[in-house]
Amino acid sequence: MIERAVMPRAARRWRARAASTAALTVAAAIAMTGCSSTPPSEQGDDDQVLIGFANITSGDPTLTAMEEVLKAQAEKRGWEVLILNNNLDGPTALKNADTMIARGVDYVIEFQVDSTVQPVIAEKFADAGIPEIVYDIPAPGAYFVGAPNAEAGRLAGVELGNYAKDTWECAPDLVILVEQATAGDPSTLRTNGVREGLLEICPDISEDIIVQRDGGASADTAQAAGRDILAAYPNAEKILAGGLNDTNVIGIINAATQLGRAGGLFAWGNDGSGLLSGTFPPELKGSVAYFIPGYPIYALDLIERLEAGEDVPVGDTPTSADAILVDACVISAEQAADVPNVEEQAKQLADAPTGTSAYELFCPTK
Amino acid sequence: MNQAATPRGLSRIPAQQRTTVVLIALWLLLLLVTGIMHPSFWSASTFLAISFNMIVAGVVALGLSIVTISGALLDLSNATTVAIASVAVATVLRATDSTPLALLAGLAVGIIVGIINATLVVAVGVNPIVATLAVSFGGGGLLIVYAGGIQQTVPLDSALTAFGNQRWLGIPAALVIVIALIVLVELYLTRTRPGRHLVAVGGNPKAASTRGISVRRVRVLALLASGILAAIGGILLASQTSVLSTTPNAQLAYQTAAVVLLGGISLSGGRGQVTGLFASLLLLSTVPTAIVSFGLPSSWQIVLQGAAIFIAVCLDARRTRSLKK
Repeated sequence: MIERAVMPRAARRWRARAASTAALTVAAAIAMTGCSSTPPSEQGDDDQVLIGFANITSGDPTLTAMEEVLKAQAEKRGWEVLILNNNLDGPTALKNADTMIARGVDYVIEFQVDSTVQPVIAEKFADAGIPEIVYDIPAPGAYFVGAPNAEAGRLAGVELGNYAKDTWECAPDLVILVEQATAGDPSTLRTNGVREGLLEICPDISEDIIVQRDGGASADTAQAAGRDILAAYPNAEKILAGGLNDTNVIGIINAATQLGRAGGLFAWGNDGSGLLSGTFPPELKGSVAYFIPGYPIYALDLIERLEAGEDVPVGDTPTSADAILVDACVISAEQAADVPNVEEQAKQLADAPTGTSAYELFCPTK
Repeated sequence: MNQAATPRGLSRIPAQQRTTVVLIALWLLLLLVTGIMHPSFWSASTFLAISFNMIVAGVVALGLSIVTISGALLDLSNATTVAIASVAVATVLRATDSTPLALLAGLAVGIIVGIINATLVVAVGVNPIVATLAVSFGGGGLLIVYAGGIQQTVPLDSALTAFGNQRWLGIPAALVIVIALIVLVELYLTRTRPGRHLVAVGGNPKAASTRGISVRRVRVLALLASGILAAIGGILLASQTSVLSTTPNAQLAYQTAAVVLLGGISLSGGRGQVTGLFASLLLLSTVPTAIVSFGLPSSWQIVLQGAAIFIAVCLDARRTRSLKK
């Protein structure tokens, strides 16, 4: 665990000003990383909170929505935001960390894909005395804000179990659970969660018919895995499918369609990415969503507590009791149409009173 | 192959067909053993799953085999071409709802990648492995810049998706296309003058050049054909998958290399038959399905592919040494 000594704001700003003697270097770094979409006043006021947000990439509506919510909700508190683009690249995230330290941010929200550089970035912020909040990818000593993987999996498993109980008296022929080995712990937690949720409702389902396999990182790799699983159980007609995310589960649905076996398939996804995209196969009966545009609400609440001087314990892993997990929302395919799109979510979240979560605003089953 | 080292039964088979016969025998053995131990393996679902497994890998491996036979070693940009072509198809399909335009967009990607590869290898003189690797990284990067890492969807009600799930006489329609392409390439290589030129250039470029064959032209055409066939792989992928990744599938690159090398297509060029490629494709597409029947973890698939490449490379080296003697 990295020791995190929070440096007083004025001292941090002074240090940042000293660092700005290397202004050319910093300017070059900023130019190379490409990024400030919200230029705060140079170095900001000593008394005003400056939050640095390094977003995973740019251009995606969900991520843009996340930025808009952060800016609007920070503004309501009288805080400034510096937004950088990590461009789906670990080295860029490292440069952005240097930039944020040089700009004297008071808090950092880090959202990036490369788990190998995450500890290095965390160490940089720890050395600079800047509290760091990470989204979804944990880092030593950083406040974890992210998806409630185990619980989200469990909720999807309960939906599968309820269907199996109501329709097949808890006697499916086959349960397909697809994970993504390269995603590490989140995949395992979520997929095991599906299994637990299912067995919670139907405890007598035999382990022999539960097939949990790696489906890779995309729908086509999950589809290939799905074909092979279905081929190994040629007589299975009552089939349940779940897994890490909607993409993987859609891959299984595609496989069943190809083999002419989608008729008896009931699938429940996770993360809501497919269900809320508006384009999903009819066999996807629902998903568990986390409303990513709403992540900043949790981060800003945490910063507010830290600003108030509260000694907030650091939960730096998704399984830590102190980790900040967003609320998971179960959404059926029928309800999906009632959930606003990400642009509308951003607008409503931006306008909402501080502390109002996306779950409270949009979850049809709250 | 060295006659002394050849088992007596195999020596009766023409040398060019031995690889194909051995691979088919291994495939039948795999079917037999798996079926005996897990009788449910012999089912329509299994054969359909194997058929679908063969489609994208088959057409991409076919392109790769043309490059390898022509003596240009390997084309490592294929997986990236597949990804870009599939995303291009999905994008145009969503924007225009026109399947012909979407197909043209996909094919255009293959032609562009083929031209870039050919320019680097033939005009600039870069090693084919380095050149196609650079194109692979560059293309993959551009794809991320374009799509921002966000998956692309194919309209579920499109004619392309309907084709992807269609079967002709119980066989996936897309596989029929792939088999037709394999037959065409086999006929081209063995029955046409340009095809024989391609094999000759791969076997001995200096001798081919002395006979008046343009080595540069042959290599350009081989790399172009590889790009186009990889693009067809992308189109077929888009026809079967409703959600497309914008990251090239590295596993596809290993898989196709394994198919080509195990199929007896020599890395030193000029040797190999498309029938061997088909037999290798059949065997390697059956392995993942058999692995699930045996209850083995999916990581075994990668181990077995690695082993296949290892064995194939060793056999190729042995064959090459025998020919030099």
